[in-house]
Amino acid sequence: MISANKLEYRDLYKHFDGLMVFHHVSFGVPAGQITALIGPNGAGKSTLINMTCGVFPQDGGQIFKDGRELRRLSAAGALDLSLARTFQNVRVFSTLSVLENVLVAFPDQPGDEPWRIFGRAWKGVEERNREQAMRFLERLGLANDAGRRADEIPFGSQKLLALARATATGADTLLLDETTTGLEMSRVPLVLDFLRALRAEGRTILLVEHNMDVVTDVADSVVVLHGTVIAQGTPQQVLHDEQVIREYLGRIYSA
Amino acid sequence: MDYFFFILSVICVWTILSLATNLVIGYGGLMTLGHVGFLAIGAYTAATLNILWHVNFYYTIPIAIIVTAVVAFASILPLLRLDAFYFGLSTLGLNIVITDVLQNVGPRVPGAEGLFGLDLPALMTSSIWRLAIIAALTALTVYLSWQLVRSPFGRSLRAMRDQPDAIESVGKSAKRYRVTIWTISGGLAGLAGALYCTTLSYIDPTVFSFLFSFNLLVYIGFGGLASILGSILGPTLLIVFGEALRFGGLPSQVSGPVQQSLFALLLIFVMVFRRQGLVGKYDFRE
Repeated sequence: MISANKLEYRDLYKHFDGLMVFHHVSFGVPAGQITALIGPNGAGKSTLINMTCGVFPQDGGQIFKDGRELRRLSAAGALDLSLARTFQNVRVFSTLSVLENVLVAFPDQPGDEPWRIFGRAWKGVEERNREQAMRFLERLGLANDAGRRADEIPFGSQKLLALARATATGADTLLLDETTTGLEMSRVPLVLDFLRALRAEGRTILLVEHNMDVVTDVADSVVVLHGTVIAQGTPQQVLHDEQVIREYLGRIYSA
Repeated sequence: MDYFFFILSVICVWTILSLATNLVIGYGGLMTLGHVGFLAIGAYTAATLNILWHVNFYYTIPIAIIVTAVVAFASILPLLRLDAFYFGLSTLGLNIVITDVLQNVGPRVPGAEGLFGLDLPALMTSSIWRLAIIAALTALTVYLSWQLVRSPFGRSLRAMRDQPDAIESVGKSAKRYRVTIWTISGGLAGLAGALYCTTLSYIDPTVFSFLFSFNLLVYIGFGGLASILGSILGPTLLIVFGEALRFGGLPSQVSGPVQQSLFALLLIFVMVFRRQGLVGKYDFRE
């Protein structure tokens, strides 16, 4: 299958013990763009991320990454396909420092093999990773917290840290679960700039988001999930869709 | 003076074993209750090779490390699916199985009821040189462990301990870290076992009962989890304390139980008031 979509979902179906989460979910995530996935709580947005990253299998349908169908993917194997994600409930490495949290994620780490730690070879790479990590933290306003334990920084900051960690993996596709939730309004623009910069680098982003201002600001396209895909298109089209307003938004957002 | 060297050798052996245990519990988040089982395998490997097959004692040390590491590697594979509590319980079982096997092959194999008459190389027959060799190997173990935990590997290991799901999300297999650190820890316990032989004139399976695994937990709990220094301080201070008790004038039938009770009280005290131990960097939550 050849397509301009980085990720493609076809007829995806998921239930938990007879409880239907969603059915007939089909949409594409175009390469190099930001696609927002929105919908009410329980619509299965995080479930869809978990399925994409191999945490649990779909009950039906297909997922394609770069035209290749994902089958029997393990959670640790998702990154081999250049897929990285954040978690709704953050999951930072609590006892590691903020900087260490980012350093763990770099793909090139010779010192991560126990039999290679005694050479000096890994130290140069480590230094490079450290500089790169500090740049991510600066752009997200976390540089001053670099030395603090990750569980001591506020929840909103942990969300940003998780974004920095996923970015550090170098994956070409990022699945971001509610990055701005719990973040004070004044720091949202940092996230928007960060996401735009990722897009400018050519990365593809699937953004689960509840903040419609964020969606209208950065998303190239929007998919609305509620049992199935009830609307998709540009933010302009979707946020004026009558069904979307009735079932999810409750009011008209100016896009 | 020989007694003094003997106590220092014992402290060295328990320091190595405490490091091995702290690597898996403190840094790897794997609750082991049976590491003394690996100490037994190291000790029996070295003693059997030396006493029954007359292998030079120096050569038995690396062999004991390899054999124990292999047993550790094989033993963790079936345990990986288990959660913290069941994992811990299984390791306790492993300790009992190891000592039971050693005990029950007794009637058939010479040595299982007990091995004595270690044939040490000339240098190691002098108690001060023996201590020097043991202390040097202990220092080497401390150095290697320290290098290991401060490397990117050690960082990923702690990250895996904190959040196994999240370490997978950055493309690293939690299983790989668990198996690796468990195997390394097994090798170190094997080293401790081989050296332990030299401090005893006689080894038999009862020396390695799981009650000694309890002491080990007290050592690292008191010294501090996820701390190299804590793994040294814990056994050192507590062994010195235990020996001091013996010179307190109590008869040995009394001082033994008193020591065990004080250890138990100390453990409770540490858990309640200072869970990270003396110099620890982690408290085992979940």
